[in-house]
Amino acid sequence: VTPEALLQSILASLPEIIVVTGACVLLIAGLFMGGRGLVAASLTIVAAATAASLALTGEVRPGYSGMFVVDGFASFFKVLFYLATALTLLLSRRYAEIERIAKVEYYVLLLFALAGMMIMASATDLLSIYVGLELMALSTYVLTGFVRQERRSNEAALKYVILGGVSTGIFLYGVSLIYGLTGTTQLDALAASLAGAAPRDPAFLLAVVFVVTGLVFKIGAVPFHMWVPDVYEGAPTTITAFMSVGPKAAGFAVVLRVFLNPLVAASDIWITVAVIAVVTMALGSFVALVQDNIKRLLAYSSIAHAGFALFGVVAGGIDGIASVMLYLLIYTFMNIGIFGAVVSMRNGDVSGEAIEDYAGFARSQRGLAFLMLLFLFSLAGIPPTAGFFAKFYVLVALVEQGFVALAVIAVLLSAVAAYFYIRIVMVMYMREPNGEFDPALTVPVRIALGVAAAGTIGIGLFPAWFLGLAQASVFAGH
Amino acid sequence: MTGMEFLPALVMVTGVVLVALATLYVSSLLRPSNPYPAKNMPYECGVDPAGEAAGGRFRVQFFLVAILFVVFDVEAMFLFPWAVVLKEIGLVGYVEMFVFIVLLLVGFAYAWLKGALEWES
Repeated sequence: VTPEALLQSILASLPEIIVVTGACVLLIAGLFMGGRGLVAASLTIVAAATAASLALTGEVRPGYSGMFVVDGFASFFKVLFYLATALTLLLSRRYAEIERIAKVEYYVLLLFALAGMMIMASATDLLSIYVGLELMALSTYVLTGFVRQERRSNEAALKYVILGGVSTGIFLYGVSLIYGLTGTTQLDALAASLAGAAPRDPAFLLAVVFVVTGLVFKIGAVPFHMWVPDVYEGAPTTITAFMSVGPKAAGFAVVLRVFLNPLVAASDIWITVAVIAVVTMALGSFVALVQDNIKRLLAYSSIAHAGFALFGVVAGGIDGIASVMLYLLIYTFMNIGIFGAVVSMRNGDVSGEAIEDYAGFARSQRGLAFLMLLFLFSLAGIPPTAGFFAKFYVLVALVEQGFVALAVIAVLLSAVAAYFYIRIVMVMYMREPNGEFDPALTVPVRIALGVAAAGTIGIGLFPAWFLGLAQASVFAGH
Repeated sequence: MTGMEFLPALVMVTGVVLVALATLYVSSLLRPSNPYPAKNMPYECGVDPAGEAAGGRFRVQFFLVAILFVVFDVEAMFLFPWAVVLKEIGLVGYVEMFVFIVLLLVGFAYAWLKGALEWES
């Protein structure tokens, strides 16, 4: 590596360097800050990284001997991660104080998780993917168990770390097999050697299955979804909001990066993905019907959404990939929005986790109830909210590729999913209230809810522009 | 097929497992089996087990020290190959190692400031 190449690499990874350095400084400085100004400091770091990322767009910059790249695809996902992290930070301000977890480590770990996700989005080598994956995963393991006094949080963290460790181990084993068979871990070189090799080589198939297992675990798709409900329920609600959008989108970023490659897209692997997509969506939608805890319900809803987004991966091509990217962006807005409402319900002795707690919510809290209605309608995919267009473009991509049967299945399963979202709306609007409501609507939470609502409505009003943005990002990547 | 190159490794793994199992099986056939409570106790030089570790509970500080040890252990292991190839990788490799060590030092400073190195709390 020459010093010039290193400088180029440093420039390409400047946003990551900003986040990691900022987190390290905050880790030490935070110990002397006495718990004040942590959110503002973290937001400043995220803003600086956003500025760096935006300044770097428009040009494809490879770095670190082909292990890392900044292209439109990576930049799109990084902006999504900044958004998810910034909104989580805003929601955390009051919630962390109520749960007594407002410590410097909480914010530093969020920033490290952000850095891990950014590396995943930019990684073009199985090893750099692994580094990003681990950085993100280790941070989220600790964040899951951050409420140390609560058994549920501890249990969730333990489950998550054991299952996550196993899945990462399987992923690494797959990577080692791939290296043994092809002599490379770079995605492009891999696809090239895949074209030459016999496609039905059982050892290679095994290796691919192992790698896919590790990634499917991260996006929470069947059959590696079992951790999702328990972890989402036990983790602090702000972290659940973060995990349901950030790490999930990062997992998709890696899956899509692999599928961006035309050689992979031309193989028969889409059949496997299609089966996973159908089963994931069916399981998420049907099991969510019987949930009483809103965090568990949203966990199954997130499984169902992962299944729907996988349909876009099945469709493949520029349109399919762009539709998944748009889906993830919209999902970030609407899911952080609904979790924001749940977070604000946690105040005093109210946990706001049982769906029954929301009975008659609309009587006294018109504004917040209306926002929840908006987010729930969007999650259900009812026009004119953004959630409708998220699903719509995936379906369009599916039909254009000739997967009409899959599109029909997807629509039918979303109809099932719509039921449990509407059920919450019914509880809020049609039932008599059981008691008083006192949501912790602080200014940061209001801002976060406002941004989420603006995104949900804004993308619903101008979906074509945002789809064009996603498509341009994919084009710029290749 | 390239997989054949790894055949010796497979033979080695199988051999290790077989030797271990065979040793255990053969010795179980040959030795007399006569367990009694005193024999099943943990061996502590012939005395009854005593002290805090005997109950299976360790002070949490041992765990912290172990974690900190792993950090520096890995760093040292990483430094050896780096030192061997330092001339070939030049200035860039030199700088990169310092970046790594600074990141480690941040972690160490954090542990120190948090009081992880204080035995009595």
